[in-house]
Amino acid sequence: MSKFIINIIFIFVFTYGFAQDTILPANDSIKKEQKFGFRIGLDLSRPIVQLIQKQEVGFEITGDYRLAKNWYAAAEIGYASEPGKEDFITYHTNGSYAKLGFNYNTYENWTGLNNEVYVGLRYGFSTFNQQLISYTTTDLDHYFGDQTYTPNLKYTGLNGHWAELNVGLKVEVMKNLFLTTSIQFKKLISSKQPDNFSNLYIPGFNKVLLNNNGFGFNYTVAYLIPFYKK
Amino acid sequence: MNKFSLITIVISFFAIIISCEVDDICTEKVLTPKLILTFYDKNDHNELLKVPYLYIWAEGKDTLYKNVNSDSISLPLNANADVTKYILSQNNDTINYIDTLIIDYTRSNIFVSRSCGYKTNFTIQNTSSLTHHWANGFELIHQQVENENQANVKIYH
Repeated sequence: MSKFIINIIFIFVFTYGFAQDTILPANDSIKKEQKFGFRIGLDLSRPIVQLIQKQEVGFEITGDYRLAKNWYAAAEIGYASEPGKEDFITYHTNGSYAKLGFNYNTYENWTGLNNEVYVGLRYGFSTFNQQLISYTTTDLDHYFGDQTYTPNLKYTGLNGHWAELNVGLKVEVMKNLFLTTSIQFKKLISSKQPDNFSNLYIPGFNKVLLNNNGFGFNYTVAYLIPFYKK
Repeated sequence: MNKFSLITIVISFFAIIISCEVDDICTEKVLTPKLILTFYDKNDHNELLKVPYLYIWAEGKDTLYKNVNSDSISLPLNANADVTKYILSQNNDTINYIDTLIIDYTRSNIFVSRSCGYKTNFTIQNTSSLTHHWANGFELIHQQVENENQANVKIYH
């Protein structure tokens, strides 16, 4: 008996659901308005690292401009001064970079919210100097011993360019104020290499990993200057 | 959350996994190359002839080869100087011959990779010399020491 009652209740639930679908109006009369404008931001991860390590590491400024409901033109510019230490090499890189591209927001916001879960593509380029501070040649036979040289050789006029895939999150925490975080997957297209050395770090690209891959992230605070609503 | 943002998150998750890589480690077996010596018959400069009871050490250093019987030997060169002196001694109960091989060279440090660093290549100079006690003469056949693929010096005895 109770089984019969429960089964009847289930049928009513399904019937109710179908009915809801046909009753909804075809067009919502309230228009969802979104803010369009220019958003400028500052990367916070660099100043934080600078405070911890007590040495200059650079800065990054971000900007984006809304083109359509889910499309944004985006750019970053920055400067990096990065010490490098490998097993047998000590070096230092400094230079500036710029990245241009666009973001696509994949997140469906509720009315009044302006958050984003986005994917983006960038083209980046950098001009920089790299200094070979010291290196050690190893004696694999351990007969004469390893030798350390300190040439302090500065290679200038180096450059590189690359492509990036970004995935990120933007959250509006206060009116027109956004916190954003993103991770970046980079692939070096080409770079001008120093003679008898190699570009181990490129500003904007970070450490050049195997197969010319790179990785980065940022954490920024940005302010939207709204121009109009659409 | 719509389908696209779910796909985005899945793709980024895989991208993170793929891009995490093991630390680059130097896997080169040979960095700074060693000098390759070969021993030939003094009566036929194309016949390899093994040298028995061979003891080899660099001046002022420990013995590198102890009582070997060989026609081909690799010797490390000192990357902190422009000359290396090796004592080549034939020694058993009945004989004791000692010859000194002086190798003069110029050095250049060559970048290998991020994880391996640099190696040193040598160019042997014609001022190199060998004393003649058990050895009869020598010839520089390949003066560039940049790999260990061919012999650099032929010693006749």
